[in-house]
Amino acid sequence: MSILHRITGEARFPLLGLGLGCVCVLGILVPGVVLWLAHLHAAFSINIHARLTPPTPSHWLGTDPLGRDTLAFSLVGAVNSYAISFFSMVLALGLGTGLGVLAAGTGQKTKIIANGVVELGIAFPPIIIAALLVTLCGAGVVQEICALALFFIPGFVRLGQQAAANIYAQDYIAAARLSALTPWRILLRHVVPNMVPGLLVQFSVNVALAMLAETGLSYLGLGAPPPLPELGRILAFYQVHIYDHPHLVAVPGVVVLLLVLGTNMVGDGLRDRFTRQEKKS
Amino acid sequence: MFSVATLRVSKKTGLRIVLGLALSYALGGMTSSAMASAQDGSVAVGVNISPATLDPTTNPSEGIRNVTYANIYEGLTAVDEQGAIHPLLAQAWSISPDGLHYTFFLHPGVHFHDGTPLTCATVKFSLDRARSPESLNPQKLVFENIQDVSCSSDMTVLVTLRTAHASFLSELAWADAVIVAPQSASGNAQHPIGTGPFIFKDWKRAESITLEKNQAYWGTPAKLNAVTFRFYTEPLAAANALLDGQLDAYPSFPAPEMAARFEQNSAFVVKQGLAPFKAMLALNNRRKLFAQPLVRQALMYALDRAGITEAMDIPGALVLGSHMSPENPNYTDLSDVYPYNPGKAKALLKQVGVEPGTRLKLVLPPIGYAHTTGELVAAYLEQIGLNVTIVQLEWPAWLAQVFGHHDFDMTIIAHTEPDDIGIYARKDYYFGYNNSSFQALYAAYEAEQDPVKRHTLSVQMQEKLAHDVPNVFLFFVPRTNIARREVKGLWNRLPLPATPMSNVFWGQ
Repeated sequence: MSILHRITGEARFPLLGLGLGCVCVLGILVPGVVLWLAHLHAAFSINIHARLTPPTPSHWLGTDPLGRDTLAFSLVGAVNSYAISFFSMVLALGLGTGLGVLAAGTGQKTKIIANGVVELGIAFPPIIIAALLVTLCGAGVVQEICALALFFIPGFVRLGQQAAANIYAQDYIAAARLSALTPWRILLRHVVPNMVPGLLVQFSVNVALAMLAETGLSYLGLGAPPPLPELGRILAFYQVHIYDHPHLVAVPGVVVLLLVLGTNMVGDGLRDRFTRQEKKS
Repeated sequence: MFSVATLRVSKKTGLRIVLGLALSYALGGMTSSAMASAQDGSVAVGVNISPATLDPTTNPSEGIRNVTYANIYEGLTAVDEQGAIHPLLAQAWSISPDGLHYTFFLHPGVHFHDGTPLTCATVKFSLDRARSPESLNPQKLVFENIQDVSCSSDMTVLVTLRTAHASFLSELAWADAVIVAPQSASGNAQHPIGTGPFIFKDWKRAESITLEKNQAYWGTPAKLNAVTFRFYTEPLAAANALLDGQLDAYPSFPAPEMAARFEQNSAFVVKQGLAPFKAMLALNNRRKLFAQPLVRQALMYALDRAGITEAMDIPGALVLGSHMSPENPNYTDLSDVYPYNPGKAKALLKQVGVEPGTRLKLVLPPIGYAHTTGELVAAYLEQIGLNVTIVQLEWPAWLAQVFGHHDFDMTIIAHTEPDDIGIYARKDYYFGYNNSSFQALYAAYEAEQDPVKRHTLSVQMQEKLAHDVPNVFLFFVPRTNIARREVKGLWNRLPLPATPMSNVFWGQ
């Protein structure tokens, strides 16, 4: 149990962590999306003759080495990075949990396949998967989402399998079986809905982890190609200025920190809510 | 999860890091590893491009030249820091008045690192290998001008050219023309054997290459006992390696933005030096679009090249207007032939009938200037209605795709060869510029022996390129040379890609 969780998760402030987390994430993503939409059809406003300027009223945190607004550029990068992490987790959740639930509900063969997937997935570090995909298919958003998803699928397979197995062992499932419901109906009516809380928590925690992994990949140049801004590549691009303009590195760094922290707090908050509900019921 | 695991530093490790830092501050001044290398007469040198092979006669990579040229391999002639031609393996030569017949008198007592003596047969083998139909030499076209190589004695080489070529002696000093021995040539890519002051010892791929002093060197022996070249792809890692003493020198430091930090540090000396550097947006002239001179001119108008040059953030950077940089005595400033004018660029594209939204692929090699410039070029071209997709490649893939298969629309690359305007006379070269009036000018330049007339012709060639713009010429940047104060003898000015180490030593 994290310290933060201990502070914010106390009964007196049951929703403080969740609320703070949402503030962190939305505080970055909402202005980010607005800027993202504003720049949808134009190259990001490069202005070489106003490069590396100090903070001004029109550029709150100054401009970067190509004269772009440092804050705006990092916020747009945050939207891209967050969207990539989010959709990769949607993909991993769908595929991983699906396979896990199937393995729990059906015979031995699916279980062997599911275990194989888990072990294979754990054996491959994400960097190797990403490097492989980039070499085979070229760099791009889709490849990056796939690489991240592949890396997180084993976790979801395990979680899905365990959670579904627990539910299948419950008496109400036996009752459903006795009342001659088809296996598909049991799955959709009883198993999946009861898995949602656990999956939601796991999902939000994994989005935070995927966000870190995504930043790592794009930092190493295995992400989407420029000019699409991504936090990792922004960091890599700014880092040569760490001595002469240290705030440049700090801006995308703090953005990553807030997004990951915020997402984690949302996940923790959700878990608290669900466990409290379970206790009550 | 890789990114999380690295964040978990145990208390013990944390303590060790703190202790280590305290210790390194306590020692002060020279770091312990730098003191060690000074004592055993070795120097660790940082370089930017990790070579894939170690044979400069079969691969154009600058990385090979930075490590092997003048250290392991030597040519018949050599250049000094100012670019003047000197005898090396050929101690003297004579040229016939028509400029077709060269007689080279080889230096006696020269041996390769495996003991093979240098004779006319070795030289004949090297030149024949470079000009043969199967030759992989990056400068094959230069060697194809050789009609015949023969030996009038063991130590006398007769070379006959097809057409007079006044740059021949300086081209023999290029790394592509180094002399290799028949029995070791095929193995040079992995284990280089030459006649130079250093012997190849060890190669940890993508990490380092170690050379040892050649105790039996035929000329003035090297002052150092060993040299280790280490490869850095990350500028920050390179800076840290210098600061913590893993490196003693970095002759072409990749991030001049950080130079100020070293200038303030009394342990280091920062120098700027001229070296051939012609950064350009190379256009595939074989593509229908770029075969039209008006489209190429439109691209020149579209780019704020002064701004792009400023974004390099290096004092002494210059906008280029043609394929020659200021270290060359023939250099003429032609940077303002096509000043920044996006309106005119759009009008030209419209005149030729280029549809707005035309897609172009910009292939980038993995080097800092290409990334910065690439993003800028994409943004500027978007402003005149062209859609640019950026593809980042590793060096081997870039070399194969662009240099080998000519499969690209545009790329950003700096040519670092000296006096190489002749590449525009080769229609088979990677950018495929085929212009008969330039080819005629170049032929006249090479047939001319008189230096004054050669200069005039060189300026005419530069002007021709500046107006016809086969490639979008971008900028020149001087190199930033950072070294520990005690490391002496490094070349500051570099007429060709190399890191000559034989005169480097630890001083005061």
